[in-house]
Amino acid sequence: MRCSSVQRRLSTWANESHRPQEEHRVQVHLDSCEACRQYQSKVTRLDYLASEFKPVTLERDLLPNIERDGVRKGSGYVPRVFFARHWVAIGAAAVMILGATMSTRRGGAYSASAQEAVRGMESTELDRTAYHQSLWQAAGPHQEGQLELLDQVWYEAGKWREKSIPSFGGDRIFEFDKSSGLVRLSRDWRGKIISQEETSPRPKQIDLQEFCKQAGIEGAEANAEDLGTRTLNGVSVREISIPTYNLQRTLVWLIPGTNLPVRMERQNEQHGSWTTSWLFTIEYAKSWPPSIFDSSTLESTTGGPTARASQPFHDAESGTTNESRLSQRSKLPNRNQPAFRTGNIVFAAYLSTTKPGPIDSACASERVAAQLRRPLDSLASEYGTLQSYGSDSHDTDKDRAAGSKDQVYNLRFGNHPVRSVMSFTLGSDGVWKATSLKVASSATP
Amino acid sequence: MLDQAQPMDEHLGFEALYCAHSDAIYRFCLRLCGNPTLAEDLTQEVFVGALQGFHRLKNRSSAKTWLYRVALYRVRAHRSRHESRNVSLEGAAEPRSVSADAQYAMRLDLSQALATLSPAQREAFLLVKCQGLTCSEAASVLRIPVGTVKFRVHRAVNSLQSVLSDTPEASHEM
Repeated sequence: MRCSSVQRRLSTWANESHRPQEEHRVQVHLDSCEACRQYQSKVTRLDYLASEFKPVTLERDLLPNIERDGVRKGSGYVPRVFFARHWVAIGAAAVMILGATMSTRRGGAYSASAQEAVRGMESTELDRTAYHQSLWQAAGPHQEGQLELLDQVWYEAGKWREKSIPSFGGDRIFEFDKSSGLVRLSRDWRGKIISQEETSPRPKQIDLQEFCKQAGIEGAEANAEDLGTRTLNGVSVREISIPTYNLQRTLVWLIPGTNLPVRMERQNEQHGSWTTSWLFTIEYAKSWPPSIFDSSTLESTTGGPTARASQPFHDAESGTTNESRLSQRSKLPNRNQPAFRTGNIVFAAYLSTTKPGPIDSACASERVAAQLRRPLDSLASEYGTLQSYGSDSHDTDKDRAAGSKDQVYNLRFGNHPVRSVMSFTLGSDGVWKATSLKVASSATP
Repeated sequence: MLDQAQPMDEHLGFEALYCAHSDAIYRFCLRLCGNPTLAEDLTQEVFVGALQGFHRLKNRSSAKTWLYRVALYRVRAHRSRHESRNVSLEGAAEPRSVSADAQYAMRLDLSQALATLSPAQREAFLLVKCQGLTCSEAASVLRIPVGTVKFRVHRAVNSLQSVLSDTPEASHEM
């Protein structure tokens, strides 16, 4: 390949997917061409500069004006206050999945009834007592990309709170009513409760149309394809493939007769094969385990996410393990990890690779990116392109009381694993600042 | 657990659409017009249009590209009206020459450096590099072939590299 051709590709390399053959040809050229390597470095820096535009946000909520103007101009629009995505919401936040959300009460926007429903529950104050986050990322040699924060789940004052990024319909708050044994799901959009639902462990029969509606893929049932029967825990289930969007499908395992989903899997087509981006299972006729909402249980968490992430994940249905799944760009949490079963993950940040191309030094969060940028660049210059990244990031009351903390980062540059420890001190502004980076162990480049 | 790359019309409700895209559309407008107040107004116009056509929008394969396209047209329309009344400083088809002093001042200010690009290059660069769209999505927004998008981004990257000279190497100690 000629330099001009390579540099033309490098300009948009991070913004496009590439065939393995093309990547190989470009890599071969880069290995032998200093000028193009320099060009690549400059493009990466420019990409980083461009990413600094991201923090700019709207300071004013335009929605009231938009709704007013839109209605005035005759859109026929009626603001909606209920977003029926609780299948995914529960899968993300509950960590251990429970009953279907059949007993649903839809509240009006900011209605008195919604406020009334909150009365008697535990405090709604945002009193963070413990905070733990899990950041991990793995990618195969052709699947590296920018690291992005997708979803956060954390625990506050007896409640689980989930924030998707971007926030679809507001934060979801799960709270447990000990007297009724029900869990209430509220949606907090910019400080206002806009909907509430009660989740019941009692399943009811639904049809595929209703299922798709609740799963947020309304209308997709028209193109559903029956893939036959499977056996799950001795029970015969039906597997349905629902093509949702271009190059994307949702596989659902349904109980015949009730059509209740027991397993959902989102897959994307990558280079001619389907890869899983997320998966969760649903169990019925189970009570909410109170331990999920028990702060004493949560705070006694032992073992960091690094240890958990390193446990092999084995999916009995497909026969795949953690490594092979991760190499398929999966970001599945380890369902076998004790913390996952007992709900001890207080904060979880899921990362995914949405943009094929060289990893941009962990843009998992602006803060982390800013702190890791230089040391990662330094390591990359020594070991080669960063392929995967995982950390045991944590921020607990104990850390803050001490004013310092050490975090372990497991990195992989090319085929070279690097284990490093970064030390942080707490600044007067309450923000952690990285102070040193030690390479704890590494392979010879 | 949500896949950020998935089309936003999967998520029910206009509010969700607004939540998902309002900041990005605002950023896009702001980077194109450079005026926060005007960018807010343009963003509001985009979503009023989206609200009016929401029943159609929900069935589209990609609400995101649709919103960007509307935003682009709004900014262009505003720019056109503005230029018809005033002498534009950004109308040049080719990058303006920049003095050495100006280059130095622009080292850490990409927004100023972007002003040296032609409008076509700037639009392509903003969509792909700042807004995070793929070249295919940007092509859909700009209604030009993917190859043209790549070419414009490549030209923009080269132009910006010449303007944004490397910053002094920072120490690795932290």
